[in-house]
Amino acid sequence: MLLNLENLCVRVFSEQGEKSIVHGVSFSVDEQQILGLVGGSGSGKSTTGLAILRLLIPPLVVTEGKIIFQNQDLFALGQDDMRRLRGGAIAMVFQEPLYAFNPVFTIGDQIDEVLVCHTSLSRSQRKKRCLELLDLTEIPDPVRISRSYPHQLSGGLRQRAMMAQALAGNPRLLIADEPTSNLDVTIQAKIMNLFVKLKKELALSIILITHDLGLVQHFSDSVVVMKEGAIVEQGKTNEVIQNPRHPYTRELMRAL
Amino acid sequence: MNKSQKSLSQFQLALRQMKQNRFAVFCLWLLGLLYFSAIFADILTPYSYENEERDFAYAPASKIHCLTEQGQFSRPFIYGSAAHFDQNHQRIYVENLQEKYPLRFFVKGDEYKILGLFSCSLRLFSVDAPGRIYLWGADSRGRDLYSRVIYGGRISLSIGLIGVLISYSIGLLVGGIAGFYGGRTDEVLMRICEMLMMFPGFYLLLALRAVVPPSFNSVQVYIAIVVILSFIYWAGLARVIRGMCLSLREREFVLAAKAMGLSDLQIIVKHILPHTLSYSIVSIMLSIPSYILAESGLSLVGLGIQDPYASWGNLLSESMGIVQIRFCPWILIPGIFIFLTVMCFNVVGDALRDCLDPHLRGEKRESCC
Ligand SMILES: Nc1ncnc2c1ncn2[C@@H]1O[C@H](COP(=O)(O)OP(=O)(O)OP(=O)(O)O)[C@@H](O)[C@H]1O
Ligand SMILES: [Mg+2]
Repeated sequence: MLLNLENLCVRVFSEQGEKSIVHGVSFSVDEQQILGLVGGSGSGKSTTGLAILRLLIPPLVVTEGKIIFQNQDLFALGQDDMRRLRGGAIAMVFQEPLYAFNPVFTIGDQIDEVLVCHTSLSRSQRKKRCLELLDLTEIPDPVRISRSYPHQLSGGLRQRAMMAQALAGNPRLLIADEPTSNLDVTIQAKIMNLFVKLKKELALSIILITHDLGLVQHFSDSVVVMKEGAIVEQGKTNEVIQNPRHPYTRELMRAL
Repeated sequence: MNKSQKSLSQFQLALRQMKQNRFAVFCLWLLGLLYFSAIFADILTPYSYENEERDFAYAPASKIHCLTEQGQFSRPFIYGSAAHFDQNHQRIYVENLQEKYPLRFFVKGDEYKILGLFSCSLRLFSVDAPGRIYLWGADSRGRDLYSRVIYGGRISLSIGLIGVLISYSIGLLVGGIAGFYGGRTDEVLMRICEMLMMFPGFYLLLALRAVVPPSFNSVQVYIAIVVILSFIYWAGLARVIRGMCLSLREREFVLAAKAMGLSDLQIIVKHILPHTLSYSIVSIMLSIPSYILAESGLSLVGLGIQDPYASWGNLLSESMGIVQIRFCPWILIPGIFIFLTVMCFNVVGDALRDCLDPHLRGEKRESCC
């Protein structure tokens, strides 16, 4: 077991008083597994994802729970250790790379930044590694892409570049927050196939956050269904799909 | 127009528009010339800044002749001259037609050090001793005003740049930290800024200058002035940068940078501050004049750079009497240099703002399409 969440609770503290956003979420991710985290808008999927990296910004606060990653308790880690983990063993892929990349730097610069942070490669080695990473995510003409600015690329290419960046720190776990929601269906399928390929080649585990049960059905090994901050159903994908027990899951299935 | 223009082309666009502003380009060249002359002051001047000749106190500018008395062309030369007193006990300089000093180029003159290492004495032009050439006249101790103005540029022009660099480093960092963290940190830092900004600048300058020990030598005084100036001026910038960072920190790339494992300081310096670049460049250009003026003001009242070192401010301090201005108007020349420099920085800064500000540029584009 790579990652284990136990009874994760997130609350928001605002002037109107406090409110529970995520209540008692527990699930685990195995090695080389894609876990689909599905749920409607506002169900607390992103919040859960960010909580794993300890990236929640106040007023959002984790009030309870335990996150074990590779046998270490993430909430017990010091700031520096946690920072080493971010972008290193646990990397994140965002929904819209156009905003997640810094618009004033080239793709190459931004991949290089992660390499500087998480590896001890020399300058020339980093350059080579950067092209390898872009190649790994099946980007045509890596040299040109590495010199481009984020806005110059198409959505699909941009998402691949973002994945290349996430892979730069040799992660064991990839948290992908709606990585394909802004892409058209054909490119969506290609990106998802890439995730599956990476999972096999690099022995990655992936948490795939999405609201599209269809994606989960096709590409993930297990599924967690969330509604209003709580898990309503979880299990192996084909079992859940074939035999949904909770009405909300059935509702999602009908939307397929 | 793409919302997030790439930075490179943004600057190229800005450059292109900048070029269309002829006056700004002219001012940029003028600034370049001023800085060039300050850097190569040793070569460009006939005398060092401290080379004095009391017999030539307040000597007017030497006339450079190309015709001999016989009306023949010759290489440029000047006549020797000597001071006489007229019936009003007014010093007047009369040319002595017997003494001719041809202008010589690339001659040996006062020694100077290149980069503080190699001794050298090559000067662009001069005349043989005992003749003295005063392009713009002499000061009260017979020092060449031209040489002193060019040497003075070294101090006056560098104080602006160095001061701005220091105070902008502080301002950017403090503003960045305040804006990025917000909350308590922000409160404390901003109250400190406000406290600094509360005092009228020049009085704070005088007060701080008074604290500097009189035993300081001129290099130390120079450094002290730069430090004081930077200390006074960083607060205003910090406040603006802080405002920009408050909104920049909400951008998703900041979250992404955190998820990449960058430290807060790395995020502030590498990801947030570059977005304030165009503002900072403009603001730097527009604030350099205040450093130059502050140094001049300080030196003018005798609290800045001390004789024999020259800065435009302390050169001007000689012209504080009506008599000097009436009879030796050339000692106001340093004032012209201050004026020109300040004007150039302002014009260039304004032009830069016009072409770096995306809003203004958008307006122009819409109106022409
Ligand atoms: N800073 C905040 N202050 C108050 N409430 C917040 C804050 N951030 C998130 N929330 C609330 O937390 C809930 C969960 O948000 P979250 O972004 O995790 O949902 P999500 O499942 O990712 O939805 P989506 O599919 O739209 O991305 C939402 O109801 C949202 O209103
Ligand atoms: Mg979300």
